[in-house]
Amino acid sequence: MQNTLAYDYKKGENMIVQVAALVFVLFAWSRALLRYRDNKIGMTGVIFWSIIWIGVLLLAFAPGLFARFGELVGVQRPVDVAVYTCLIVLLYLVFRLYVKQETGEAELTRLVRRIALQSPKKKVESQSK
Amino acid sequence: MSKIFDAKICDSFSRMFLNAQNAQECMSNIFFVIPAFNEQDRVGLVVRSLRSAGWMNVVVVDDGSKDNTSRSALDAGAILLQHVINRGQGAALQTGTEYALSKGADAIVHFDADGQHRIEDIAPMLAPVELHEVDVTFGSRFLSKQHLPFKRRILLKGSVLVLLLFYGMRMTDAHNGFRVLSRKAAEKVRITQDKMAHASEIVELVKHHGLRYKEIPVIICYTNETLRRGAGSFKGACKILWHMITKKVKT
Repeated sequence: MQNTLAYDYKKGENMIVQVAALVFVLFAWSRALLRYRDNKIGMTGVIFWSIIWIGVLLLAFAPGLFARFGELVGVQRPVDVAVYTCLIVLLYLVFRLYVKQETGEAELTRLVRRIALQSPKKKVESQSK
Repeated sequence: MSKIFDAKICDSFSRMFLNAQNAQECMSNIFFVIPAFNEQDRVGLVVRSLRSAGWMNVVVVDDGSKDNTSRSALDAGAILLQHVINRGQGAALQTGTEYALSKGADAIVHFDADGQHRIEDIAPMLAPVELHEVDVTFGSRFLSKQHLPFKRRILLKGSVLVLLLFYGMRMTDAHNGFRVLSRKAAEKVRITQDKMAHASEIVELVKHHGLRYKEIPVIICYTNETLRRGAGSFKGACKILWHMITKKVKT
């Protein structure tokens, strides 16, 4: 017996999923643009996240593309292709965060050291009579 | 004062210091770097003991302590450097080392703030460096045949094996905080590992820069509290191994 949802999804007829995906992507996209306007992220970040959200829209509106790619790499379901791709992207992002954190820790230590070396203290020993 | 330089402590050391005046001249550029974190009860005693023994350049690096470590160290007569937040023992040692080098130190002694290291072990540790026989001396609990708890012994022996595998360094005690570095060695050995892995990093850098080193038998005075801390705990050992692996991957 065919899975109704999968069957409808394959035919691109699941309106609820597509509308939900569209609303979410528009919301997430707007956040990225607002962060860019506030100089919290650069143009590279905007482009990166735009690619991600376009990928989500493609999955919702043109799952056939993922199905075709899945056939090439031996994965049957389009959603599985999306999940594996997301996993790889997430792992890469975690790696980038780890590197940034390590760099930040080293810089913090350098700053703390500079402050410490700027003001050494010693008790003034009073002369005894 | 002359009793401090008794020939029983070290023959070569006593030959160097024939009188008190010579002793002061030779000792004036020896700096003790003591990293301290929440050691208000012990650091004062350690500093006083060192100064009573004639070592005047005692630098305590308060690594963001929450208690009165700074006040205790200052009252005891130490030169105090303060980390505004806790960064780790390795970071504190590097801060103290940089300070000592800026003040013209000829040799730098890494010494613990918790009273584990003995004053009488200083002379034998210093002598080979001051005589220019080696650039670095490392204290060793195993050379002194000191009795250690079984778990700690196993962990330390394991760390020695790891050092041999990672860096090709043959040592008997890989994680002893008691070290003496010549000025040349201190300038080359730049500690970047902030936490406990700095001990392994120092060994690695000594090997990397081709520095001459020697292990000297020392006795470590343990308490129940100090046994719980440091590289002798399994959790600490795992953290150190993880840092060694990640550093190896980076390089």
